[in-house]
Amino acid sequence: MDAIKANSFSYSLINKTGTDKQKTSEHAGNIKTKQDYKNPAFGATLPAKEGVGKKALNLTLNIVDKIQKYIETGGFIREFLVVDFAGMVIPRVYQAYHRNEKELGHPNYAAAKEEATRELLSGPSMFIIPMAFLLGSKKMFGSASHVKLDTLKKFKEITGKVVNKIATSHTADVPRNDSCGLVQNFYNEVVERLYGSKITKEAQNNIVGNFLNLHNATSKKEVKELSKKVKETLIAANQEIGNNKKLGISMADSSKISLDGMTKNVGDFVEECRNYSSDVINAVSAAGKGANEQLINKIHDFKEGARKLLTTVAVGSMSTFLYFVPKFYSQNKEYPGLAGLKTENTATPEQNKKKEELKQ
Amino acid sequence: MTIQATSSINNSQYAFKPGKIQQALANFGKHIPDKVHDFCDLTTKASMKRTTQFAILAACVLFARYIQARNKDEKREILTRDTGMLLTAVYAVPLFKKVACMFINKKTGIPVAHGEKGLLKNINPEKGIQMASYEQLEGWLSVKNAESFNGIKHGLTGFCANIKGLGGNLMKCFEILNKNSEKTLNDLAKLVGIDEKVTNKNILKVIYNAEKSTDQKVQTSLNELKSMFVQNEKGMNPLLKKASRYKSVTGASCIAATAFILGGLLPWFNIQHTKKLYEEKKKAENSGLNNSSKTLAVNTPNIMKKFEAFQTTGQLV
Repeated sequence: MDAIKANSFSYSLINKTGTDKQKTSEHAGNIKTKQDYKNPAFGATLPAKEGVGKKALNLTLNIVDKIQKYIETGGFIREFLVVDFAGMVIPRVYQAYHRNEKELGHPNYAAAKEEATRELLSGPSMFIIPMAFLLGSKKMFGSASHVKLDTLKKFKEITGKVVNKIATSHTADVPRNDSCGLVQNFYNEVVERLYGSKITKEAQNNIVGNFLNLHNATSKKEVKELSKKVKETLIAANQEIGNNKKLGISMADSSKISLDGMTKNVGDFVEECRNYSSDVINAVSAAGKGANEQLINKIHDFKEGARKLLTTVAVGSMSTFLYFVPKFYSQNKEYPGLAGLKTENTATPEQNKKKEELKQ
Repeated sequence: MTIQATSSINNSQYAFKPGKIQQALANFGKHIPDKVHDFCDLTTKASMKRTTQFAILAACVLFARYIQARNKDEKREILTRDTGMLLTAVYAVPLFKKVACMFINKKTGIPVAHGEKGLLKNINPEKGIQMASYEQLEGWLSVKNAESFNGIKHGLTGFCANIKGLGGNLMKCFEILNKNSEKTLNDLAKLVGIDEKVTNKNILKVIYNAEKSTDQKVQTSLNELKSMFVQNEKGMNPLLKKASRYKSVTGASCIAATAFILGGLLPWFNIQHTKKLYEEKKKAENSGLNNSSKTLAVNTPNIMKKFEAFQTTGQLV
């Protein structure tokens, strides 16, 4: 910092007192010119010489950037809560509270209550209900019920192939009832289908090894960290391969992966792999010598049925709940938005009589 | 698939034996048609497809609220408010993001989206141009260290070709990374035997030739270019920082616009419109009462006719 200050001082001194030659030269202890200070590579190490307006703008942009990243990385729930609460619930309830306030002589409590009930029941239920079903299904049907149906079907094919391969192989160096062997073979086959011969054997083993670590992870923290690691390894493999239509890999979106034509987000795919192997592969492995096609069919029929039921009931329940939300918020006989607007009958009996006559 | 040889499975010590209730539920689930399941499919984060969302919002929110409304004023307000909500949330926001991405790309030369261009391909908000995630931007515009280029197909050329393929202007991108980059690139071009000025058109050729060269000077310049993309301790470089900010501002604008339209404008419009309608109604009623004598005069012949009929027949008509 002192060196920078000294440089700045020398620079200003030359600028004020030096000759034209001195001003334009870069001698005298490698004094940096103004241009150099503007250079981001150098300027990045310096406190930026900014005006108040630019500083404020930069600060605002940094805050906006941080908030947006916080929202996006928090997933749909965080995004929904921020948008729904900040953008809808609060301003709508506020407006309802002050609706026809002048006419009523007091805030419109009934309208605010209805608005709040409606917004609080409608928005959050769109993710709370499906999320509750997902959580429940994991306990009831196992983690494989979180795997999408198309992936489940593809994994069934792979598991069947791997089990047959182990059963028929005379030279198999993996015992039939070795759970690690089955898991490893399963992931070997998955990685083979993802990349074929486009990656080296070493890279393939590395990916499979990372998948195995994830499979064996026990704590939530471990699962999170290892999932991230597998994801990064897969993205790195995609980048190494580059654009490849056959494998469904694109540099433009290296976070996409294709398993036999099924395009998936790498993060979702890794999660599906963990959910599947920790449930189905473990069950098949546990059967030891009983592991055969019938067992695989039985497990998959169960998981596929559970998955179909889960999604249909979750979306059905949420839709039904949304349909009946008006029953919860319409607790006033009259629409409270009209409170204070409806005219009271201030006409004289004579006028009313005339009015009735006119109507006849 | 039919379940066969269950007895052999059950004989196994570790047979797969779910509970009776779970099995019954799963059996029931198997009969659900695939199309129904596809419509209801959920991601691991419990979100639905946009088309499913649209259908549910239209049927179970808009329609349900409309038919359960207590009077015509509430019905009118529901139509205004919830149709606006449906169109804004499901279609307008994604379309706005698409337009914003194209605008940012055109103005700054930084790629912030991927996907096919063209009006027809972008009518469906789930298809066509999609704004990149922060993760994608990081992958497109930065590397962890200079060695990372070794893990990318065709190294720096492949990395830069990807930026260009995404619609990025490499010259502008390099200028954001380093103001002196143009000079570095022009010097590099001369070193690899390209005498013309480096532009967005020939920049890939310059980098490609440089990567093939074994000349020390060329490699030094090339390393200089590579180091520009390297992330600092905060995981950023000037280009990524700018792209990230553009994305964030677009996202924040979408939230602000949604809040303004759905939270502010539509409810406000409803309140004011209903108020105005009732004021007009009130005025009309008042003027009707004040002019009642005139109205009576107009109707007098009818009353007189009725009176005459009463006189002749002795009955009220």
